[in-house]
Amino acid sequence: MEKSFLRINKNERSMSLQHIDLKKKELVVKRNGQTYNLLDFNAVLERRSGFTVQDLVNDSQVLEESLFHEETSYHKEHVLKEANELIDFIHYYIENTSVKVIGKYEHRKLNKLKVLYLATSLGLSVPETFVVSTKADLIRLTKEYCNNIITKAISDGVYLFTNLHGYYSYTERLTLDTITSKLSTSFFPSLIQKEVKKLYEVRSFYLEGAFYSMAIFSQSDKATQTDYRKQGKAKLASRMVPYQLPDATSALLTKLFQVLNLTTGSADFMVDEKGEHVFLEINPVGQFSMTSIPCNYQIEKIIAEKLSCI
Amino acid sequence: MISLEQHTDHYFYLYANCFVTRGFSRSTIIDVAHKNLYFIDNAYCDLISRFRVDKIGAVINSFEAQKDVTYFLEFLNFLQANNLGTFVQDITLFPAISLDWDHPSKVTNAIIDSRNINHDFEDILKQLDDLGCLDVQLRFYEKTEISYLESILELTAPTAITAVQMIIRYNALIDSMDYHRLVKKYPVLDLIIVYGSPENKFLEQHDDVREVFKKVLFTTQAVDSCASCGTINLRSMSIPDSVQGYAENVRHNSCLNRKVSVDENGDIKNCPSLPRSFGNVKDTPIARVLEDKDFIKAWNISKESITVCKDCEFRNICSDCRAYTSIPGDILSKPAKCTYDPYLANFA
Ligand code: SF4
Ligand code: SF4
Repeated sequence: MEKSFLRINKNERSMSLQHIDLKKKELVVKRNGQTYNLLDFNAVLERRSGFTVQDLVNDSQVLEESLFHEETSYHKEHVLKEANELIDFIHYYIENTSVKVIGKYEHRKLNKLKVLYLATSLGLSVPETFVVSTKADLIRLTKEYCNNIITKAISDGVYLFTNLHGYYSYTERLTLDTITSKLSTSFFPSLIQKEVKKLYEVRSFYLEGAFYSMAIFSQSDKATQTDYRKQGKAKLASRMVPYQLPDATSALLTKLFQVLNLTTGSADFMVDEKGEHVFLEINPVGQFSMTSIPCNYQIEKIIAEKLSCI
Repeated sequence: MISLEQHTDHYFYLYANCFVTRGFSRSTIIDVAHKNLYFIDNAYCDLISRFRVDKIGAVINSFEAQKDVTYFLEFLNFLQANNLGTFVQDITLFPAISLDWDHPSKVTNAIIDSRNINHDFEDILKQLDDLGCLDVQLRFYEKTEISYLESILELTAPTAITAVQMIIRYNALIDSMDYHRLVKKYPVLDLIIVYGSPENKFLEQHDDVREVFKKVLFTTQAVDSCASCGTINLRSMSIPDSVQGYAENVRHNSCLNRKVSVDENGDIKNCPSLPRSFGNVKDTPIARVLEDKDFIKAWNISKESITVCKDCEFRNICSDCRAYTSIPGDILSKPAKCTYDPYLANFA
């Protein structure tokens, strides 16, 4: 089972688009002096985006220069719009000419609220969820749930590293103190959920009908209680072990993936003291290695076999 | 202290990445996630196997003497205090970890020995890279110049080799700062061991952030030939960093699996100390050697098939050695340079 492959990382800089020819069926890129027609490949695994604007142009200087002097951002926005349209098509074209596709480009983003809504309507249990924009509403919720509320990003969290600082946001607990002292009377609509008192978390990687699940025990350490990614200097690493979703949950979750038209992705749950599996979200470009490695699922091998078995 | 009433209806789940190995005189629990090792009595090893079938209440009811209940409670406390397990309602939701092992590379690690000859390192490293080799150990049995080491390290630049270890002879003319510069210049250089040194010491290397790496080790030990290899003691053992590493130890030979060696004469072998040559690198491609069933055979000698070792509680973390065996010529006998006696549970 030896097949040649090409891995395209975004922002690689060493790669650039040469040309597309619809008649001749060519989508040619150049990398390290080699040219490849991407339509020659017959299987593709997509995770996030393989291309960025920088990869499309041979001379990125173009992007830095401004044509419209009064409206300097107009030119950039215009180029960006053109580029995104093109990137969209590149992925679509490759997917359509491949025999086997795992993970579609158009599925790289999901609307969290939409997914929560669909999950409840299918019968999965989800945390109580609100979007609020006034301090008064937030204080009411905080009191109603005895301080047990959290906030998180509606789309993606902040993850930015500049030369001086690293900015990143995680799921945070809100307290009455912070709300009264730090917030103004109205603010940008924010996602608020009742905090689930968890025994452990579950991450289920889904691939074409099968789940590869992992339980994450992090409770023994205060620092990771709201978000296990925030391990900081915690002495003991979280316990990540293989997990088997209960049949009922797994059936409902399969349905959710089907309704969303997803053949792969990663679902998150919290399991509370009563053993209830509370669904949190689906990450359509889920990293499988963070489940595969601790649980020794060898998902990378399974994917390689699926891609080469055509 | 745990109150048992609260948990009689629960199972005790020993985390799947805490592995129990039963030995002749005692057992070990290897916590791969936290890299800890615990010794337990064999009686407790039996008890742990009941955890997957019986609830706590049922285990307690099976004890006749009250003191057994007390011991059991103490044992549960020990497991919990060391974060080795937790109480759960439904044990079937927590399956065991598979110990299947595989790797995309045909060869993952290699040893190249040198004495008085100049191997064609460019060719050898290229061949190893084509096979996906990640770790390369280079052992030199005579004095080497820094510039020579540097010229070899340059050859790794176009490859995907991730770590190089160099074992070199002490040379009074080389300033220790030169080694320092070498490891700084070549991040791929994982460790330099300078043997025959006047003293034992580690040279500390600080990276720009905060970590201290100890990449240059000076040792008074003499390494005259490949015969210096194969010593087994508590220091030579290490708990793997991952479940994959542990699984490889369990299923395959912990020293020779996916290894290729080139000895000081250029002979391709499983290990430079083993007698059998499968051809010389000058005229035999390494890839061809890998097609030989006899060559691959050594990769799969797991501890379960080695006499004495199969009764040892360290077997799943032991580095093993198939070249120097206690019964010369018997490749399935215990390593000759291991002083541990699993029947007495002590190091001689
Ligand atoms: S008896 Fe075998 S398994 Fe045990 S320490 Fe010695 S060599 Fe390793
Ligand atoms: S088999 Fe023994 S001598 Fe050979 S490399 Fe392994 S430990 Fe060293």
